[in-house]
Amino acid sequence: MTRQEQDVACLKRLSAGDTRALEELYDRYTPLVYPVVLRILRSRSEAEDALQEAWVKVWRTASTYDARRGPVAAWLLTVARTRALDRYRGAASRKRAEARVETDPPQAAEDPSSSPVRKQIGQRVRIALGSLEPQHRRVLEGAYFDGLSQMEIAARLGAPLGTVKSWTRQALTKLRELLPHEEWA
Amino acid sequence: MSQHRDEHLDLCAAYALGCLDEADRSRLEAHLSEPCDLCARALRDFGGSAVLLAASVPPALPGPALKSRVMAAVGAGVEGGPPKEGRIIPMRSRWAPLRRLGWALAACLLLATAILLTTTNHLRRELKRARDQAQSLSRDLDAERRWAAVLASPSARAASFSLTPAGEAELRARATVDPETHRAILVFENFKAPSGRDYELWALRGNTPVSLGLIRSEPGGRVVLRIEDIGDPATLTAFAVSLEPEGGSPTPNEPSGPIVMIGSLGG
Repeated sequence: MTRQEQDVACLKRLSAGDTRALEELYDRYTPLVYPVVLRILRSRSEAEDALQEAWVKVWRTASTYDARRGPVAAWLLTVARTRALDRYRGAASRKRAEARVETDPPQAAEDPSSSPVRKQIGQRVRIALGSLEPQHRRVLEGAYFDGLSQMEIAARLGAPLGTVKSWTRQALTKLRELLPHEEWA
Repeated sequence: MSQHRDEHLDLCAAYALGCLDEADRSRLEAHLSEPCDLCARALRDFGGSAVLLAASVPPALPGPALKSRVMAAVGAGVEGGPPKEGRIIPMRSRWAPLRRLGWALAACLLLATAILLTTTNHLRRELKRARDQAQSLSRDLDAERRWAAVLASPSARAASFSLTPAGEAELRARATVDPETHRAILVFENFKAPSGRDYELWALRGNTPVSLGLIRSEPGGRVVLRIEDIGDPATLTAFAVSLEPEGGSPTPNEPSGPIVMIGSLGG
C-alpha cells in the first residue's frame, strides 16, 4: 500500500469519527507541516495556535478531501498554510511579526530530534531549490511561504502576469525533475 | 466541461502552490467538473512538488502539549492523565520535647511554606487550565457564529431531500448552502444504517458525483454535517445519499449502492 493510499484510508477512518486516525496523521505530518507554519508566523506560540486550528479543521472537513486535487500531504499543508496566512494577514499579527523580525534572535536552524532521513531530504531539496533559476525560486517562495497571489508576485518581480504563470509551472516541473524519486518520509 | 488546454496546467501548478486568484480558481474548477486525466496527473505531480518545497524548511517540532490540545479540541480524551500532585509526608504522632521547640517551630514553618507553595502551584495550574478552556470556548463560540451565519445568509440556497424507491420511508434530510462563504450545513434524521452498511453523501456537479464522506449514525439517528468548503456553488446542482458497504463506496467517484435520497438545490 502506498503512502497516499495509507493516508486516504486514514482520512476515511477520520471522517467516520476515529480519533486514532487523527493521532496517526498528526504524528506523521506535524514534522512536515509545523516548520512551514512556523516559517510563516515566526512565533512558536502563534504557530502552535494556527496548527491546532488546522488539525481541528482537518478533523471537521476530512470528508471534503478530493484525491483528484492532489495528495493528502499537499491538502494538509494547504489547510495549515491557509490558517497561518490568515493569522499573518491580520493587521495586529503582521505588526507583531514584523517587530519580531527585528528583535527575535535567529531561530535554531535544526531540530535535533529530527530523523536523519528527513534531514537528508530537506538538504537535497534545498540544494535543488538553490539550483533553480532565481526567478523560479522567487515565484515558489513568494507563493508558498509569503502567500502572495500570482498578481502580487508579478508586481514584486516586475514581470508580466502570464510570465509568472509560466514560471510557476516550470519551477514545480523543474523541482520534480531534479528530485524524480524523492518523497517525504 | 471545457476542453483541456495547455493553460489548464498553469492553473494546476498555481493551485498546488495555493496562489490561484478567485477567477482562475473558478475556471479550473469548471474545467475539473468532469474528469481530466492530464490535469489529474498534473495536480498529483505538482502537489508532490509542493510537499517537497515544504520539506525544504529546517525541521522544528511544536511543544509536546499541542497534541493533547488538538485531541481535546476534537473531543477525544486528553493523554497523560491528571497532573501529579505533590505527596504530603505524614507527621509524627508524638510531640517534640520542649527543649527542641525552636526546631519544631522551624519545621512547622517549613511545612507551612511547603503547603503554601504546593497550593500556589496547584492554583496556578488550575488558572492556566481555566484560561485554556476559556480560549477554547471562545474559539468554539466564534465557529458557532460562523455556522449560524450560513443559515441566516440572505443568499443561502436550500435543498429538500426526496426519497427514491430504494429509500426507507422514515429518512429525512435537508441542506443549506451559503454561496458567499461556500459553507454548507446538512441535517439528517432517522439515519441508522443496517449492520455492515454505511450511508454516503455525494455532491452532484453536473452529472458527476463527488463523495462528501460517510453519514455516521449517532444515537437517535440524527446527524449534522458541517462542510467548510463545498467547492464552487455555481456548479453544484444537487446532493444524493447512497447506501454503501461499510466504509463507503469502493469506487471514489461514483456510488456503488442504491441511491436512497436526492436533494435538488433551490435558488
